[in-house]
Amino acid sequence: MADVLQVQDLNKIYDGKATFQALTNITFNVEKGEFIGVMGPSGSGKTTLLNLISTIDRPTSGQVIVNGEEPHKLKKGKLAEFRRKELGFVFQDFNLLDTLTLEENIMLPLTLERVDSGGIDKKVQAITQKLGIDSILNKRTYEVSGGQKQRTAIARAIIHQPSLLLADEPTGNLDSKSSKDVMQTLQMINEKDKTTMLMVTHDPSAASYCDRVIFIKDGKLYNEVYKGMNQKVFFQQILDVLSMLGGDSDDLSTVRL
Amino acid sequence: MTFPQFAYKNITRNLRAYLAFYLSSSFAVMIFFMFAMFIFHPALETGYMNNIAKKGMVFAEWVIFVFSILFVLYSVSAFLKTRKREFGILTIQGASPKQLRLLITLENVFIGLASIVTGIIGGTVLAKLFFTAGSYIVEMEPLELYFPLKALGITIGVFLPLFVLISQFTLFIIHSEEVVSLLKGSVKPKREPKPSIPFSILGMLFLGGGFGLALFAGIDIGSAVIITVCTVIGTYLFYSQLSVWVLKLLKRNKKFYRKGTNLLWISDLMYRVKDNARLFFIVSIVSAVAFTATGTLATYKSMFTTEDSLYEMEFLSYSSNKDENEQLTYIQQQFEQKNIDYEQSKFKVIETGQGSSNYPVLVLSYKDGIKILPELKTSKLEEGKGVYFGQTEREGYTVLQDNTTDLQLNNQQMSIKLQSIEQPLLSLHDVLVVDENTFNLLKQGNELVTFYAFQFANSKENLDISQTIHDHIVGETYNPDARYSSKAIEYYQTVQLPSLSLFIGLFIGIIFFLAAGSFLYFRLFTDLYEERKKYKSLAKIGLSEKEMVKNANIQMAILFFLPFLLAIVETGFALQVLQREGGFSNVFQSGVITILGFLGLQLLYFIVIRSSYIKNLKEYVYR
Repeated sequence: MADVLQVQDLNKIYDGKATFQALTNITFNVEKGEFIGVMGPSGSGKTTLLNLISTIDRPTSGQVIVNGEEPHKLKKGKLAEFRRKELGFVFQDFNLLDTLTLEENIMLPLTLERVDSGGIDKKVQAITQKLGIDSILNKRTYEVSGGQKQRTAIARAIIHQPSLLLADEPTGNLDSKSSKDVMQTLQMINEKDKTTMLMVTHDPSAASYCDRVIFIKDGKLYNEVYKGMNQKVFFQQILDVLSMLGGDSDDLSTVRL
Repeated sequence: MTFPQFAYKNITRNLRAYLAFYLSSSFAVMIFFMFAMFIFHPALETGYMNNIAKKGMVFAEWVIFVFSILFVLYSVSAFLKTRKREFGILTIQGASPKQLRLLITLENVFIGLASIVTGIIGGTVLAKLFFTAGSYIVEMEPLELYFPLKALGITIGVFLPLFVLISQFTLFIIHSEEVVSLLKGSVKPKREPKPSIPFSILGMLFLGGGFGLALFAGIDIGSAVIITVCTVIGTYLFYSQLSVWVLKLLKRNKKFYRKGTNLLWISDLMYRVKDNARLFFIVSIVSAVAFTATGTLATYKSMFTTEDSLYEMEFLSYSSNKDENEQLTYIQQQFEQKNIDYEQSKFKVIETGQGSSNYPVLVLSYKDGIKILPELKTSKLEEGKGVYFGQTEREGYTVLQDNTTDLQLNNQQMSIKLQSIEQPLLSLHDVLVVDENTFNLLKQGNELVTFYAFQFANSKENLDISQTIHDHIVGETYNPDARYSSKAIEYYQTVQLPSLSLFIGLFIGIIFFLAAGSFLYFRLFTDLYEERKKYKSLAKIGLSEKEMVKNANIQMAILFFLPFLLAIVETGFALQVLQREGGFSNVFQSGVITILGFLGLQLLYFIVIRSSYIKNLKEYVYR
């Protein structure tokens, strides 16, 4: 199958008083329809990697290729268009606008694309039914729970059918029940729509929903684990790698089950 | 580290956060001080400025102070809101409410002192600039810079307590909240406002009523107050209620609402309707005051035209005047006291009225006419005809028609054909020169009056003696037996006094305009922090730089020009009342010029603020 995302020899060096190499020679590919997780201790470079892939930050050297296109070579104006068309984002703190209703938040990417009003309604309806948030569309962000907010954010991220969905700690602000809901939602989208996903997370149980998990330590690829048939076994495998990785103890709090 | 040291370090190490508050306070102080400097200016204290103008200025000073209170209150509460987290941390560390109050009071006193100092320095510099520029505009001697002890005292005496008091007041914001919500900071979404139908109708009624009354009602103090109150309440409701309806309508039009960035700015306006209503309201009213003040005084100035007389002083004495000789010697004494070389002429003339309006005219014989104006010799005066020196129209009346003047003599009317009409000769009255025969004819049955004219050099400087002579001859109001006119007084009344009024009007106008501008500025830059965050997350989901700029432009343009528009409408009505009731003739011309001037300023201001605002956004969002 074709690779949706190719990361080749990616390096990121932060210049400053103390030069800091955040990423060293990261190389991996993500196939179409794959759901991939990125894990690692705090300061390992997960977020930097995500920022480079999401074109928010520029790499010092190396390449990021999404659907055969190299976004870092695009001009500013084209870059915004690229993000809008090819990428979808889910954030830890949801990044929903308080000024808009949930429905308006979801349709925002489409209005920016200048899709006509009828088309917007159809798409919003289809997607919100799928995610089970169609009954709260007229509510405002402060009137719904964290899980509902995150599902709204997911709806917004996939409404324009991006090639790649990027999620940055999507369960970071949620309780375990909401986390489970959100992860199941992501998994469902991945399975039904064959949406390619890359998720950065701390949470081993969230990571266990992925097809494959990449581990980063000190800016370098450390290991990767594929899911077999069983999610529970996969979860245990992830925990094993994490304990070998030896991050901060609180990163592994869930290990002490 | 003592407590005052802590407060001091708080400020000096986080200067950026305090900067907006400090600047806006300095600005308020500066305006107040400049105005106080103006009011207590020695040249104006001893000058001829009348009491009403002075009372008006003192009133304006207090208006400025009230706005300063609002302004400082607004800034300090906005500022404290951004620091909620800090207060939460302090509370967790065990700071008692009393200590927090002390901290905030100390900080406010530090900042208050600093802004009083900067405000006074800035005010002095700007006042100098303004005095010079202003005197250039209105053609009078520049006011001198002086040591403004009184203004200093009042400014400090008024603002220092204000800062202390306001910090006590703003503490309620913090006290009323739980520590948790303090720690979470200012992120507390507001509910979408629901417009109320009765209030919307009330708003329309008030605004319509105010405007309607301004158009049709007779104006006295009572109705003026009613109109003002109606307009003020109507303006507030216009922004707080009617604007919500308009936005709702826009939202309902899905085709428009869901197009590009429209979604963003309309929902944002809706979200902030309450904040905006207050801001728009203040800016509208303040701008309307500025426009009207300037417009009125500009009209006042353009109403006067100087008439050039041949003589520096003119004195007309009727036959009934018993004190003629005494008054004449009095005038001469004044000249001698001041060592002025003067030339005195004396004529016997006929004073009579002309036309239906009975406008006064002095009839001179040809012989005397030549004495006044030797050029008359060249044109031979035909028998029975006259040469007229004056204006054909005065105060809206037509004095002369068809080159004929109808003299209203004691017991008969007489028409005299005019050979030519020339520019006015004297400032007291218009002049008609007729040939000797006609003059003799008119002399019968009409009293002769004595006309004295004085010529000397350097007229405009002789306001003092002109005033004393005027007081002596004419007295407070009117002397039926004598007339007196002086170029210096004329000049003062027709050029300097209106100029001074215009100057004051401009001053007040510009100050209020600046105040409105700084409200906008402060609002924009307190919101900048949140806006940057918003745009940053929007950029991640694909908002392009162009779209961000467009959106910010629309939002700023609404902020800058919506209140401006309403202010123009309100000014229009106010000027209309003045035209109808105040007897001003060309209000709209000067009104339009004034508003265009302010529009130019506002545009300039918009362009400057916009570019720095957008630059800031761009740098943060799209590095």
